[in-house]
Parts: sequence; C-alpha cells; structure tokens
Amino acid sequence: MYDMTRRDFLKGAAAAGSLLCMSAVLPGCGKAPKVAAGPAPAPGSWEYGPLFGVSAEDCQKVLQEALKRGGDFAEIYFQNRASDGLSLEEGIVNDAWATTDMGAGVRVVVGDQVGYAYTEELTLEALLNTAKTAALIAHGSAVNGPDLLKPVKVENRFPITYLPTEWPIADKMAILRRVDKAARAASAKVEVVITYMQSTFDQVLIVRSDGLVCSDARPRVSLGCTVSVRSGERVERNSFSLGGRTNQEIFAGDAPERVAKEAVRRAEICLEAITPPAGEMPLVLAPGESGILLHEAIGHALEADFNRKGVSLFSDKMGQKVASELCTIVDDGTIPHADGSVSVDDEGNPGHRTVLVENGILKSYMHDRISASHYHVEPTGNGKRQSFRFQPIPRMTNTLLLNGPHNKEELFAGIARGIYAISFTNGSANIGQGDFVFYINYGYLIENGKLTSPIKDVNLVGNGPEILGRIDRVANDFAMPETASGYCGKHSAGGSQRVSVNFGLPAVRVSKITVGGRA
Amino acid sequence: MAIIVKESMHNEAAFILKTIKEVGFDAATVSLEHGRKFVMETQDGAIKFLKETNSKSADLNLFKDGRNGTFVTRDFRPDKLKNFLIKAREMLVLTDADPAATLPPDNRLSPLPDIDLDLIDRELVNSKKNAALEICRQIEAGARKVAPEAITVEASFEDGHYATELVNSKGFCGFKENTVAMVIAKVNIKDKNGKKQLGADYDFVTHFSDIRDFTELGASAAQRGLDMVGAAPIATGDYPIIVDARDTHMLLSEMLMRPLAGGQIYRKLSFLQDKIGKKIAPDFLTIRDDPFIKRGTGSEPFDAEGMINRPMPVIEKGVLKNYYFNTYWANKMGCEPTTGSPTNWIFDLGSRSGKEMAEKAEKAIYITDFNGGNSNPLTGDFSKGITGFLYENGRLVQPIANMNLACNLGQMLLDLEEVGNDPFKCSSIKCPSLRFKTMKVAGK
Repeated sequence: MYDMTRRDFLKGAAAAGSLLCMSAVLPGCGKAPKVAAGPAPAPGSWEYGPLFGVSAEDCQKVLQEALKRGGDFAEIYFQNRASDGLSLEEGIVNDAWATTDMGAGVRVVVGDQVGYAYTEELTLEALLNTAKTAALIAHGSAVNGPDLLKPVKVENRFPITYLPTEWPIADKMAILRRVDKAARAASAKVEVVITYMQSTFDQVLIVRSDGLVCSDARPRVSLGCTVSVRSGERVERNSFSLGGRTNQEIFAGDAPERVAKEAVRRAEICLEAITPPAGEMPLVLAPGESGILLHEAIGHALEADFNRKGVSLFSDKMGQKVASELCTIVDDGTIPHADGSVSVDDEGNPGHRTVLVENGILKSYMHDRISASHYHVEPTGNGKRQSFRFQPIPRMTNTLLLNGPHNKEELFAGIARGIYAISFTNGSANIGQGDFVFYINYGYLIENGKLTSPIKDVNLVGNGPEILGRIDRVANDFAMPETASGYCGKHSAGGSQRVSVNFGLPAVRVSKITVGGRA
Repeated sequence: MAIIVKESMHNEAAFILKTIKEVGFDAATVSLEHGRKFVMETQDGAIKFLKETNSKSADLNLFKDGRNGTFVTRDFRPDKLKNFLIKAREMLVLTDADPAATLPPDNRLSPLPDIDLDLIDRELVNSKKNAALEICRQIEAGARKVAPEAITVEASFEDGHYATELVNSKGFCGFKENTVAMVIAKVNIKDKNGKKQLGADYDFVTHFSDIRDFTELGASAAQRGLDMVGAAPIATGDYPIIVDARDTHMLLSEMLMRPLAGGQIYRKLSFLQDKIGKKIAPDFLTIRDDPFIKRGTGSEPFDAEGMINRPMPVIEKGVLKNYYFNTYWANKMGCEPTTGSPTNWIFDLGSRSGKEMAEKAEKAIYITDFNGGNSNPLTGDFSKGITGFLYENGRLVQPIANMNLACNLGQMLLDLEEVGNDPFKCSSIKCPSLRFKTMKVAGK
C-alpha cells in the first residue's frame, strides 16, 4: 500500500525520486570516518566461506545432491545483506531502520528448465534439502558434481575503504541535518522537507557445478531530499538524490547542500509549469536521465529470455536495422561504482561491455547462462537477481547511447512546437508489441526553437523501433544521470524481480512522439 | 516442507519480545511472519520453472527513550538475536525523540473480532503441487483451442500459506493466516503483419474450489490477445471513457489510495487535503472499507500495528468520510487512528457491466489495460498509457493501443457518470467498471 508507514514512504520516495549517480568516489572526503571496523573485505575468493559457515566440501556435497536426478548445471548462491536507513523530517531524525538477511538459493538447470529453492538456514542439512527440492526439475540419472572447486579472482568495480553500513550514525545524521538546513535556506517557498540516507552492503558467494567459485562485495548508498514548495495556493513537490555503489565518501564536500538545492530548484520550476500538450510532436531529450528511453524502448526487448522464447519483437531481427543509423547502443556493466555495474553477475560471470546496436543494426542480446547456451554465445554478464530468493535472469546493467555528430543547438533548430524532457520518474514496456511509455517529472515546452514554459507530470508514449527510427539528431554531450539510481522491476517465473540499473545518453531529438498531456 | 504451527510461532514471538525487553527497549511490537510458496510454470506443455520455498522473518517496531525504529531479522538464535537488538538499540539512541511514535492506543488493541474470515483452505495448506502440471496443461489446452497458431502459450500455478503472529509490549497477541492460489495464462500471438501481441488472464483466490475453470481461463487469455490484433492509436481528442473492472483498482490506487494515506495528509501533499465531509464525487459513489469479508483477499482481523480492524466508510454518497491514519500519523494530526492501510473496498453497484455501457455508448473509449504512467498525489495530475477499444453507436470500431489518458484526478472523480455492476473479484479493491465524461486522450 502507499505511504501507510513512514518507512514505506521513504522507500517509495527513493525509488520514485530517482535516477542516478554514477561517479567514482569523490576525492577530498571532509573528514575520516570514526569507524572501528577495518577495511571492506576484497571480493574474489573463499573469504566469504566462513561468513556463511560453509566449507568447500559442504558445497561439493550440496551440488552433488542438486545433480542427483541429472541436469546440465547447478549452482549455490549465498548472500548476506545488511541495510539501514535514517530519515529526517520536521527538523528531527525521527525514523531509523535496519535489516539483515542471509540465505542461499540453489538452482538446477536442465536445458531451459529451471528448478529453484532457497533456505534462510545455512546448515548443511538445510542446504541439502534445498538442493533436493531444486533437483525436482530433473528426471534423469545422477551426474557428478565438481571434483575440484576453483576460486576465481574478481575485478572489483566497487572498491571502498569502509562499509557504508558501518559508517557512524552520528556522521550520517550530520549529513541529513545539512541537507535539511540547506533545503530550508534555499527558498522561502519551502514547506515540507524530508531527507533520507540508505546504506546497503551485500556479500555474495557463488559456487557452481563447473567448479567456479567467486565472491563479491557490493556496497550501495543514497542520499535524497523531497521538498514541497508553495506559491499562493499552488503547491508542488519534487526530489533529488545522489548515490551509487560506493560509501558515504560520495557525500563529501558540498554534496548535501547540492542535493537540497537541486530538490528545491526542481520543485520551484514545477510551480511555474503549465498544462502539458497532447498529441504528436517533436521531442528533445536532455542528456543523462533521458536514458530511460533506451531502457524502455529497446533495452527490455533485447534481454535474451524474451528472444529465445520468440516473444520479443526483436527475436527475428538480429543483423537488421532496428534504429536510426545515428544510434549505437551498448550495455556496459564495467563502469566503476555505477549502480547497474557488476564485478561479477549473479551467475559468476564477469561484467561486460556489450554492443547491442551499432549504427542502427542489431548486434547482440543481453544474456544469462541459459540464453547464451541457447544462442551458442558467451554469457554477457547480464544474469542478475533480486536476492538469493530468486533465480537469475537477463537484466540490463548500464544501457548507453553513444555520442553522435550534432551540436545541441542543432537539435532545437526548426521545431515550431515540441517538448524538451529533462527528468523522469518511471516507465514501462510491452515486450511483444514494442510499445512503451515513460513519465516526465519535468521539462519544457519548445516553441520556435526556444525553451519557453516548464511542463511536468506527463507521459510519453511510443513504439520502440518506430521511435528509435525517428531519432534524427544525436548530440555529442553524453552523460549519465547525476541522480541516485532507481530500480527496475521485471516479471519473471516465480514473481517480479527488482534490481538496480542505470543508463545514459547524449541529447537526442525524436522527430515525432505522442505526448500525453491535456492541453 | 515446514508447516506453519500457531503454537510454535506464538512461543517464538514471545521469546523475541522477552529478549527485546531484556536488551532494554521500553516498548515493542513483534510481527513474526512464516510462509511457504510453490510455483510451477509451463510453456508449450513442458515444465520450465519449479520453485518451492519456506520463509520466516520478524518485523520489530522498537521504542527507546521516545525514539522509534523498525528492524527486520530472520536469525532468531538467542545470541544472534541479542546482538542484533543491541546494535539496533545503539543506532536508535543516537536518533531524536519523537513524541508521536507510540504503540496504538489501548482501546484499539481489543477485543479481537469473533469472526471466521474463512481464509484457510486445507487443500492449499498442504499445497496442490501434485496437481499443478495438469492444471497448467488444461490452461494451455484452453488457450490453444482458441489460438492454435500462438507463438507460445505459457501457464503458471502458484499456491502459498502465510501466517503472522503479532505481539506487543502492551499484551496484545494476535494470529492471522491465509492461503492463496493463483493461475496465470499468457498467450503470444503474431498477426498477419508479423506484429506480436500478448493476451493474458489470471485468477487469484484464497480457496482452490473458488478458482476459475482452467480451460476457460486459457481460452480467455487467448481471446484477449486476438481481440487486440490490429490495435493502433487513433486521433488525439476528447473521448468519453469507460474503464473495465479489471483495471479500475489500478486507477483507484492513484485516485484515492495514495491521496488518502495519512502521511500525505499530514504533510499536506494530497489533493484530498481538507476534504473530509466534503463532496468529492457524485451521489452514487459509495465505498466502504470492510476487513471482514469472508474469503476476501484483503480481509484481516488486525492491521500491521495490531490495531483491531473495523468496517469504515471511505466515501458515502460522494462525500469523503475518512483518511488512513495509523497511530503515528494520528498522533501527529491529534486525532484517533483509523487504520494504516486499506483492507477490502466494497462499492455500491450500478446496473450494467462495462461492456454493456460500451455497447450503449454513442462514442467511448473502453480501457482494458493501463500501461505505465504515473500521477502526482499532491496536484492530482495523472497521465497513463492505455489500450482498449473504440466504440461508436454501440458498435466496436477498432482496438486501440499506444495512446495516453491524461486528466486531473480530482476532476475525474467529479466527472464519474456511472458505476458498474461487475466488481473485479481478484483484487481486494472490488471495484466495478466505471464510466466518465470526456477526457483528453493522446494518440496520432
């Protein structure tokens, strides 16, 4: 339900507010954290075995049990997640929360069939029972598990000095108070200020029946501010956040004040917004957050599970033109500290940069192990899952449109009436039809090539290939969103799964799109 | 598979509460949840996915020196639990005191209603997993009969058993449990132009005997896909709108649930601010929140805080009667709490189904699905993608897709013209089809 508890509200605000910060750790952290905890453990080996209370021999026994009825492949995915959050409202830090979650999922794969079970109890007996349940998908003879487990070193894309969840509470609270103070000082129009910080640290151990063993450490923080502003009878709200797969060092310098001022700035723009127009018109997307276009218009439909089943509109389009020749689109899981990045994905495959579309031609899907096997290609590091309670499926990492040849001014030239979209809240896509929508938080009307009145709260509606084919200008100002990343939900077998993703693009122009306004 | 045992849950919750007191908290609520779930998915006759799980967790709402926080753990071993609570206490005492953070008032913690909500199906307690493959095959057969050329047909069956033991330091002790079963059919169709179209249907019940006929469900999904073949946007304009019953709960969650939430009201971030006792919709709209509907998917004796639920008018003859205030937001507002979240919403019904309305309409867009979009609960601005059908002079003209409906939710409530007689049974929001005056629909 919506906003029925304070905590739910904050979660909703974080998700909706949202789109992302990429950057690596900022230099010049104001002061050293007063933490007793040592450096964050480096991922890459058996270091997490003791954390989960398992030995290599235990894992071999569990994998043997998983393959007792046959199967092509089995894996154990151990996960320990610590999360906490604080929020400040009406001048006081009046809400705190923390969760711990630990467990293991066992997957057995037979062709494209998957058996899955998980346990929150990490005894050998519980793990063996979990493996036995997952094995029910298979109906053959036992195959051997791994004779030897081979720990693999992982390239750590999220190096941090201290764990975000062990950052001192007092220091976290001090940051929140700075955001609150700055928001109230930014404008006399400010009424409500809600500030929050969330910290997460995931530790993952993957043990596969082909012998591969790897562990991974995944930090994440976000700092957000939601404000409402009033001018006479008119009230508007907006949000801004910073974050990424790092720790609180990203909030060094004037970052807290920047979060506050940007939230207020956006809300004040909305105070001036006019009723948005309805109908087909040209669209210019600002660099950064507008990458949601890629995510919805083509990204989901290039996740290979939809294609191997034949249900995506791109399943028979490999090598064909699917976008304007100005479009080269990559999915890049290797960007340091980016929310969509993976050191290894949740199947133990390293993060990868995959060219999806090159000069408008479809070059690759995004694969997990099952789809890579189906298409006889290498996995692309896109096998992701929400937690140990879910099986991995193909998901985007950071989906990017590369720079084009145009100057930004060229994008506005000749537009008599159109939309300039800057910030977004959410979107969705129908995979088979290719129809998609995404919702503008705020932007501007373009009239005779110039930005005029602000607009807000309006949906854009289109069909993926049609809209990508109508991209007739691509600027050379590529950016990823500065805001903290949102989450992407995808329906899958066993329930919807939410993972963090990111995107980016330069400013682009779409010659015509349906704008869902009222004027 | 573990079985939910009320006595052991009670003992475990009591142990957690005792440990909380020992660690030095002043007050607490423990919500201990156990669950089991089974899922099977098939595609074109073969099992593609099988999952069985057990889970348990404890949500702890903890109070110390006027400070409040929520903590979740799944590790109840005495030493681990104690360490977790000590860390929680250390975190909490550094935050600021908030006098509004309290347990619910005593008068809302008893008596527990003496009503059998009939939420447990013994068949589902033990799981119907042995019947799952046959169920999925029947769904697929029904779909194939209607759409033999479908690219793929997918079916799924899921059942579960969930229980909550909620105790607090004021002596409240409540137990609630329910079973669920869900079936889904998805049919992927390619039209003569090669465009793909998904048709889907589902059912969600507390008792297996109430579930729809599986063959009929598959057939319905296939027909829904076939009906949309050739869907395309039509001209931008103002059209009378009918929203099919299966989609009205999505509309209502934006139109009423978000704006009625206590936090939104206290923060003055709702377009329904200061509207209690005021007319916000026509006379024929009456909605009541009823937690005691037998086999209702939203039915429950007490809410997430342990407050005893009770029937509550939401809108009576178009007049707004209540907001959703849990204890915290009620304390902030200086009023009595109602409840934290909606249970079942029951509507006074009209005389026609959505389809009958469309077949009598001079001109209307009959919305059968919303796609993405969002709304602003502060201003009521609303913009969502739609698919459905254009009707003219009572006749179906064409399926439509790739279009957008935009309005102001406050005005949309006032522009309601008719409530149907066909409440959607799969949702706890048992809303029938709704017909509205003209609204802006963007397309070509």
